[in-house]
Amino acid sequence: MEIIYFAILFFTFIAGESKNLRLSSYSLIPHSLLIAISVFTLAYIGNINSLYLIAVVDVMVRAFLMPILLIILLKNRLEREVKPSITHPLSIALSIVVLSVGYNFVDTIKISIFPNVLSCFSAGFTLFIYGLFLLLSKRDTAKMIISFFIIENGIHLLIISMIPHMPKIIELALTLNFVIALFFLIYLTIRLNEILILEEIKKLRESNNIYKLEE
Amino acid sequence: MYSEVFLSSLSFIVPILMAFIIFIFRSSLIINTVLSIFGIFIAFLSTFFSLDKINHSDLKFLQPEQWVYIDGFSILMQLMVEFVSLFVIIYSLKELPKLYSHRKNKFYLYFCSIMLSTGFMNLAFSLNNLFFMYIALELSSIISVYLITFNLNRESLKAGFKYLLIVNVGILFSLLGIVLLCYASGSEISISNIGQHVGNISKNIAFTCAVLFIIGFFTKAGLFPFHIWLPETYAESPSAITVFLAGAVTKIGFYGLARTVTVFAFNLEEIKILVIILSSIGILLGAILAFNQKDIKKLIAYCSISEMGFIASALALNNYAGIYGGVFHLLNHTLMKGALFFSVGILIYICGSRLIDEIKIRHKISTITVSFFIGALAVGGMPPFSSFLSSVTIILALAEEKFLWSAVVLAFSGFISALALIRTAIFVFWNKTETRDIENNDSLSFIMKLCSLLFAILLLIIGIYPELFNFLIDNAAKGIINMTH
Repeated sequence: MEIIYFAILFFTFIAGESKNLRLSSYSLIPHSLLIAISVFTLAYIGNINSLYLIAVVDVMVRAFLMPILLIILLKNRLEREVKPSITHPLSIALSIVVLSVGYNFVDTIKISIFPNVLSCFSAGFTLFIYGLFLLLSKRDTAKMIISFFIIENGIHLLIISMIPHMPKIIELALTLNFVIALFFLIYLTIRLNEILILEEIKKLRESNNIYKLEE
Repeated sequence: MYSEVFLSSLSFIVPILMAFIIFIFRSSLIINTVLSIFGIFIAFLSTFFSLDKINHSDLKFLQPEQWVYIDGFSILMQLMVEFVSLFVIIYSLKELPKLYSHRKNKFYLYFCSIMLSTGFMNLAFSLNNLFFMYIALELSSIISVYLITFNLNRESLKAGFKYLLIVNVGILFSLLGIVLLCYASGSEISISNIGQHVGNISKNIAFTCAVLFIIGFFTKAGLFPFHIWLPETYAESPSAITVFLAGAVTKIGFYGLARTVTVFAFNLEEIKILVIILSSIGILLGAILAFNQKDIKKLIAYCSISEMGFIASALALNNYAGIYGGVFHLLNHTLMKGALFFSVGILIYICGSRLIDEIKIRHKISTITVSFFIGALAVGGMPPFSSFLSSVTIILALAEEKFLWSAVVLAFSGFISALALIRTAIFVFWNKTETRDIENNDSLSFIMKLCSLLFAILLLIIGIYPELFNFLIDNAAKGIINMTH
């Protein structure tokens, strides 16, 4: 299980720190697939039948639907992210600290504070904290959406670890909520990009007109 | 039994159903308005049915099925949301065609979103399970994003994005709080049993849960220090929608606070102190920041942040007077913001600008002047308006609980907020140069004036005759206190 969690954290790091937004979005596919695999494994080990359904939903929604929507978002814009509020090397260093030290720290204290939680607790909590860090440090709207996605996945793992026998309907309704929120975020960003492009075209035309007049 | 559940459920079923009907038929503006008003009317009837049932029951709450929990507080919230939605719909009938004609083919989606949001809010007020309450609550705020960005310009889209991201991430903390509470108590948490569970879990876990709920619901309500989405969102939304946000959507945050944080505050002194400190800073900061605003909607938004701090601090007090004052101020806040934002909406309708320097109206007493002034004086907690009574109740309750410093901050900040608003009102309505004659403006609608004046008159009526709504507020306060045990 540990290997799966490390792999999840690795792909989260790529999604968070890659300057190329397309690569960030693509790395969310293995990130989410691994989350689904961890849920499958937990269902199998703990003999919790309700988690199988959740894992299937995770594959469909988190591993395919959401990254596809993100790639659609990147269709008509630059693939390079807008400069973040902190420098890139510092951001990478902080990410490594949050992901590695954070994970190990949570894993150590978990036993004393929450002895009955499932093993995905530490990964879930680390994803949650890392997502918040990304949200605060990034300026690019696409990166902000990716941060939200990571936070949501963290919460998802936390719920599974703390309440594994939660009624399926609640879990499905929460996923639906997440899909709607992300859909709206992507819709707003696409419309915003369209307006920005139109404004740029207008500016360019105006400057061309001025240039012609001067000539 | 089933008929009782069905009739109580109409308060959320009908608005959601109406939203689908509006979406399918995509009729004209008038038909959409009529359908929406009809939906709200049925929701009103359903809420009054629940109110009647509660009045005739010994327990003072309705729980015909495990998933339903309706008490006096749910009823008050439902009535408030329905009332605000009704006047927002009526006001939009005139505002939309003039200011948002470029979105003419999407008017049906506007009404559809209002009805859906109202439906989900009423659903959240009726549910017992905290997870389901969270889901309904979040859905209502996600849908309201469409209304915020209805203008579809760069600024409104940015405001909508900011709102959606901050509120969604913030509210996830409250989801985490629910999960932790479920884990610690070992069973499903609902409004009917949260009081018992909070009393049984360890102090550290209870404190962590309470902090998570505070982050979540403070963000939802737009309270300090999680208020950053609020001024921009209020400013960029259509004026009717600003009233909807201030009077209904942010109120869900207070509903969540009253259902969770108040329960923790009854059990943990630290939580009470934390909420009062945060609220007091917010009250003062909101009032000070209001002074520097050049945008009239942002000015009222900052006053709103300050005002909402009053409610949050009152809801954290574990005495009847505090809770009563908080609930009373919740109602008054809706009326104050309705009066102010509706009249500001008319000013923007006439002048086409939100900037105070560009809004100048001829020196004449008009309906807008009256409603704006009543709203401004009510923000300052002046007599004879109803906010005077609620402010005094909160101040006395705070003093009684040994938070005299907070009571002083509250009174002082109320005065500063009122000053900022009255100064603006004098500048806008009594400026001698470059004025516009509003009396000769034919396009100025009677309906819009009526909406703003009605909210102002209600502030006056409740202030003079508070017994009129006393039973509702009393039931709501008792409902909150009952669930803390």
